[in-house]
Order: sequence, then structure tokens, then C-alpha cells
Amino acid sequence: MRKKRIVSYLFVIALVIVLATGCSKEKSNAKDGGPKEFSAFFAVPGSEINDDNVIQKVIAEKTGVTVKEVWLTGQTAEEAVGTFIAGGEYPDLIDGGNGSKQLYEAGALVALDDYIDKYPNIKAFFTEQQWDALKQDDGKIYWIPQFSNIKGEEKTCTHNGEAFWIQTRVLKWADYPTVRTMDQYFDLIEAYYAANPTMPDGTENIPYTILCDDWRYFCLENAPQFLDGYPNDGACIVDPVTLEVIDYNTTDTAIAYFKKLNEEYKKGIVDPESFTQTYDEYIAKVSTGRVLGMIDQWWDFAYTAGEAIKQAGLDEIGCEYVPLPITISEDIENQWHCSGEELNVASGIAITTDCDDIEAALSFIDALLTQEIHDLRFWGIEGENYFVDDKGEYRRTQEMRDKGTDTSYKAAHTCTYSYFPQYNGTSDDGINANKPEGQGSEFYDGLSDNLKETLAAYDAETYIDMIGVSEPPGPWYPVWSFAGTLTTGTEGGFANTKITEIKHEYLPRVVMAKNFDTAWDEYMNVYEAANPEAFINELQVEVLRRVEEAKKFQ
Amino acid sequence: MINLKKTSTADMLFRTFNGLFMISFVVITLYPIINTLAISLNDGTDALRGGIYLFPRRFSLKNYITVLQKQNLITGAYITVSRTVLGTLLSVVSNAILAFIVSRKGFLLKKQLSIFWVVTMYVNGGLIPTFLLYKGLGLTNSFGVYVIPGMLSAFNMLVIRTYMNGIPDSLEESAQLDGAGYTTIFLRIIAPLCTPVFATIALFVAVGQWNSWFDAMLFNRMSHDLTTLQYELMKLLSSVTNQSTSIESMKNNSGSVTPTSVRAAATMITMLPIICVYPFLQRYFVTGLTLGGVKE
Repeated sequence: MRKKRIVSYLFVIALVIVLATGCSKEKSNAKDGGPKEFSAFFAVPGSEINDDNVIQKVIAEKTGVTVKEVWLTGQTAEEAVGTFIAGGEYPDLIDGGNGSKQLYEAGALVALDDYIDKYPNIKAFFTEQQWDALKQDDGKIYWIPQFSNIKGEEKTCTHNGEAFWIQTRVLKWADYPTVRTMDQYFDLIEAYYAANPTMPDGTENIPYTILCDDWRYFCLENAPQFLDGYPNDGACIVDPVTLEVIDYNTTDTAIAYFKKLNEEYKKGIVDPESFTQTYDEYIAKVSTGRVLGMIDQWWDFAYTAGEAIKQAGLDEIGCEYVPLPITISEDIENQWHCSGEELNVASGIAITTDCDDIEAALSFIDALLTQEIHDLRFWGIEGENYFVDDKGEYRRTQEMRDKGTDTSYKAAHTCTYSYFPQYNGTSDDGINANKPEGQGSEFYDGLSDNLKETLAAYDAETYIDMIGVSEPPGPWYPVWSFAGTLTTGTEGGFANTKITEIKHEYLPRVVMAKNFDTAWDEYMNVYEAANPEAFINELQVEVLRRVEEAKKFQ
Repeated sequence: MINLKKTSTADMLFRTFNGLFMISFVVITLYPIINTLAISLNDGTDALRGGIYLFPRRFSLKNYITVLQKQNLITGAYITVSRTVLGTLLSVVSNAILAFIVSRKGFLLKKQLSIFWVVTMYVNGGLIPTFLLYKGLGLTNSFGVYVIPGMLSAFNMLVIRTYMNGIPDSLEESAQLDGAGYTTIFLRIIAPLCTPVFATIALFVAVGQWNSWFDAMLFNRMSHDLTTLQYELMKLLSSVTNQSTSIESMKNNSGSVTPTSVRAAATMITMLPIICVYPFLQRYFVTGLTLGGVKE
């Protein structure tokens, strides 16, 4: 009896081993004659493309290449890159994100300089000056940033960045007033809240909330630069005339801004949960439609909370948000929305030394940039995902639009190769946007009546019309692409880390303080002790360097 | 009720409080599961608004469809089942053999070796050295990495050893008198008596194997046919979670499933098999786990 049992255990073990190993060996010889398969790793979370993806197959027929994409899971970018480097084995293509520099330093990447000229679409992807900006300290180019590249005329309908947002019902209630300053903004919210303390269903409105969770505390801290009429350099203000780098944390505007928040907090306008809520809680709160206004970046709430508001039918009572062109005083021109491209030189798609066919990989990237394949990637298949009207404009029916947001349909059908180089702006035909979200008609058709009414009241058709557009201020823009690469290895980088910690700790205190002035003084004392000059000085050097670099191309 | 008079007031009080305590305990343990189930059966975007407690507000099977439609799920499930079965078997067998050796009175180096193994419970090489070691051993990009490194665990081995120490020596001695060798003693005498502890360890290892995803990510990231169920679910979760600072990845994530709802659905799917197995192994727990409690 017992012997039989042991024998049967062994049999099960043997069976499982055979099955497991048998299955792992299938892959290696399956790829005869079919398209060449490259592996790619992207150090950001993302969605996988199904193996039987329809558009991936079409692209594979045209280019002879498929790419198996692997995304970041359960680690930080640096950790993931670290394990690749430790193992010494790399995928064919990689975007190391924050770990790109590590990959370069480990010698894992192939220098692209000798190749770029052979591929016209890749070559045309950047100007000489931009390619130059991508050079590492050995003078060679290792990665191609994939985003923020505009072909032809810029086509944008939403303001993707930061703004003071307000619900359309508040504006409608006040008969669409002109709101230009922070004081007017809060006055309006106060007045609406006094007249309408609750939602139609009886739950209480939240007049103003501040997201302050971890890295997302930009919603609290970096408004002073916008209020002074500067664009989003992220780390500092740069005077466009003198090129002087100014610390926006200590300006008079910063004091006025935090003082205002402090006053509003005391009046009960600022949500008392502001500094303790997590991102999830914040999204849940905004999703209920109870929050009248806040500062945030569009992408941080619109794709989640914005969808929830629409789905719950709260758009009908005006719970959707529009941005307002707010500055500290009326005479200042706002630059919340800066047009054009922000080249982020810190990371991009790179080819590793393990890739056995660099030419094929590059010609694949080159092919992805042709208009035909670009349309396949972002619009899909004609007749299936979009149709062309008599003016040659790409349109979608509601059914096609719905498909575009269905996760399982997307996994099986759309293949944007989302972390490969891509264009915004206008298609080669001069009519259409390169991506559906840039298509004006598409955008306007998808708006709710309330939003259309609000936009019309301000003589606007898009979100951008609400706050206006400004040109990029100069070749240093944006400074955050440099500040983000600083490590604690330098004095300025160390100061930056410290400042960040201090701001996390003291800004909520300042806003909630009984006596604003003493709290502010206390904050400033600690702040000054952290040596912010070292950080500002390093930014100053970089700004001047970028300006010098740019002169070569004038 | 008939015996009511016979029970003292103290007894009554104890029973009442015991009952109340148990009921509240059951509520505390059950509520998270019911809540997760409710969220997983609710429309994702709607769930964002919060306020779902016991019942879904807007019923939808979309979360489950999204999770179950994931293409590598079948491969993942296959590998996970294989590694759970194989890993558990190998682990129990090898830990049992080792424990048997160490529990023998006459074994020369048992003290020194035990200390040696205990050290591994507290000290390990860290992530990168472990990675390099496995790579050097050829375990990366292979199925072996799931079962081989986990075969021996000092803790599990010690639990089994302690249990074996509790078995009277006379049993072994009388078997020896009847002419049994060590193999026979182990297989015929000791092992059958150790079923409870084996079952306990098996459950430990099986749950660990079933839930494991980190090794799949670390060592087999680029091998899609060696993915595990939990790793696939983890990937799905991080693809819908907006962890990244990047605008582009936020754009990719719109749709009617949300991190909250997918997390709930994935939790329910993962929990199910363990819940099914647990009642059958639970009874062994009572006798199975004795670590340093009983001395001869």
C-alpha cells in the first residue's frame, strides 16, 4: 500500500517536471519565418499588448517586426534597472526611466550617433539642437525621448497641466463672471458655498481641497510661480530678460498665496482633510462631485475622477471642471499653458548591447514614425475604429469611442506601442490631428451640454481657450528636466532634497497656523538653514549653459 | 435553557461575553472579505466614489472579465499550480528527511549544523547577491528558480524536528530491535506519525508558493511562458494603478476599470483556492505546530 503511494507521488513529480520543462522549450524554435521579435522593457507601469493583437499583426506585416513589451511591476525604475545591470542581460530595447543614466554608466546602451543619419524619420524627429541636447557627457546620443513632439501645427484641446480648476455649476450660478485673481476665485467659491452648502442629494459641498500626498504635493507648493505669471519650470522662476534664477518659495507672491490659503482655512473653506488625505481618498472625494475647486494637473484627476463624475451623471448638474486664468493680480499675464514641446532629455527609448540586430530595431522605430503606421497606432483601422468624412476629416461614432475606452478591447485590438517615439500635432495631410485627443471635432462632440455652455460663455471652444496659450520662454525651459536629475551627490541636489522635506513638513503647518506670520517666520528660518542658495546656484549654471548651447544653433 | 439554574452567574457572564466577543470577532474578520467582494462586483468608476460596504451599488462583472481575459493568465495558472504542487512536495520531503537526520540522538554534528541553519534564518545575502548567485547557478529564466531555492527552509525544518523530538524514543528502539534500518524507521514509523506537522508545513509552503510573484518578476521577467498567476495579476494591477509620475502612462489607463475594483477582483480570485484547501488542512494545525513547546 505505502509503496504504491510513494510510487504514485514520484509519478506525479515526474509528470509535472516533464510538463513544466516541455512547455518552456516550445518558444525558442517557434519563430521561423515569422516576424522578428524584439523584447522591450519600459521602466514605467503600463498595459501589455495581447499576442493576437490585430493591429500589432498589421504593423508586423508592414515592418517585419513585433515587439514584446514588458512593463515595470512591483519595483521602482532604479531597482528594475539595477537587476538588469546585476544580471548583465538586457532586453533588446529599453527605456530605463529614472534609471537611464545607470544603464548608460553601466555601458549597457548602444550609441546611436552613427545610425541616426541613415533613418530619415528618426533623423527628422528632432532638430539638430534637440539632438545635441541629448548628448551624454561622452558626447554621444544613447536614447530617444518618445513624447512631446509636435508635427506641424499644435493640436491640443485639453490643458494637460496645472491650473486652478472650478466646477461649471459655480460659474453658472454667478452668471459666468470674469475671474482673474486668486482673491476673486476664493470670493466666488465662498459666495457659492454660502448660498449652496450642500449638493442636491443633501451631502455637504467641499469648497476647496488640496492634494498633498507624497510627490503630488505640487498641488500645494508650486502655485506661486504661476501666480507670478511664469510657466511651469517646476523648480524655480527664470527671469526671461536677465536670466536670473529666482526661488519661488520665498517671493512676496508665495507669502500672499499661503496667507490666502491660511485665511481660507480659518474660514472653513479649505478642506480640513487636505493634508492627511491619500491620493485614493482625494480621487474618491473629487469623484463624488462635492469639491468645488482645487489646484491640480489635469492628468492627475480627469482620467479617473473626471470619468466617475460623467458616469454618475453629475455632469448634468455642473460638477465638471474648467481651468481659470488666475494670477496674483490682474496686471500679470498668466502662463499656465505653455505651447510647444518640452523635451525631457532625462530618458527615452534605447537599444542595448544585447540586441543582435540594431539596424532592424532602428528601421522598425523609423517605420513607426511614418504617417501610415502612426495612424494605425493611434487611430486604428479605417472603418473599424474611425471613418473619414467628405472633408477628409477623421471622425468616430459613439460606438467607436466606447470601444476606445474598453480595456479588454484595447488589449486585443489597439497597439499604440505607447513608449515608442510618436508625434502630436497635425498629420501629414494637414487636416487631422496625429492623435484622436487632439482632434477638435472629436473633442467638442464628446463634451457635456453644461461644459459647452460654460465654454461658450467665455467665448472658448477648448479648455485651452479658457486660460490662453503662451510661447515657451526660452531655451532653458523647462528647468525641471534638469532639477529632476540632481542627486544628493551634489551640494545643490542635497539642498533640494532637504528643501523638499522641509516644505512637506512646514507648508501644511503654515496653512493651518493660528498666527500666520509667526508660522511663516518659523518656516523661513528652517528653510534658510537648508542652504537653498546651493540649489538655486546649480540651476543658474544649468540655465546659462542651456542658453549658451542654444546660441550655437541661431 | 434547562440547565440555566445550575450555571453560576460567573459562568453566565463568561458565556455571554465570550459569545459577544466571538460574534464581533467574526464580524471583524468577515467584513473585509464581504466588502472586497462587494467592491469587486461593482462598476469600477462608480466604486471610486467610495461608500460601498456590504452590497455592490452598481452591479457589474466587468472587473472579473478584465482580470480573467488577461491573456497570460492560463500560462500563469498552469505554472502556479505546477510550482505549488511540485514545490510543496519537494519542500516537505526534503525538510522531513533533513529533520529526521537532525533529530536522531546519535547524529554527530546535529548541534553545530542546527546553529548553521538557524543563522540562515536571520542573515541573508540581500537582493543583488542572491540574484547573482541564482544567475551563476543557471536558475534564472527557468522553472527551477520557483522550487529549488525554497526546498529547504530552516524554520520549517526546525518545526518538523521539534515535532519528531516529541515522538518517544522507545518506538524507534523497538523497531531497531525488530531489525529495521533508518530508512524503514523513517518511512514506516516516524513519517506516518508526523502527518499533522507535514500537513501544516505543506500548507505554509503551498500558500507561499501560490501567492508568490516576486521571484517571477525578478528572475523570469522576460520569459513569458514562465510567468505566474500572481505576477500576471500584479502586472494588471500596476498597469491600472497610477503610480507613475508620467503623463503618458496616465493616459493609457482610462477606462471603466479602476485600481480599486481590479484589486478587489484579483484578491477574490487569488483567495478562492486557499479558502477551498484550508478547511481540510485546518484540523492538523491543532497538533501540528509545536516549536520548542514540549520537552521530553
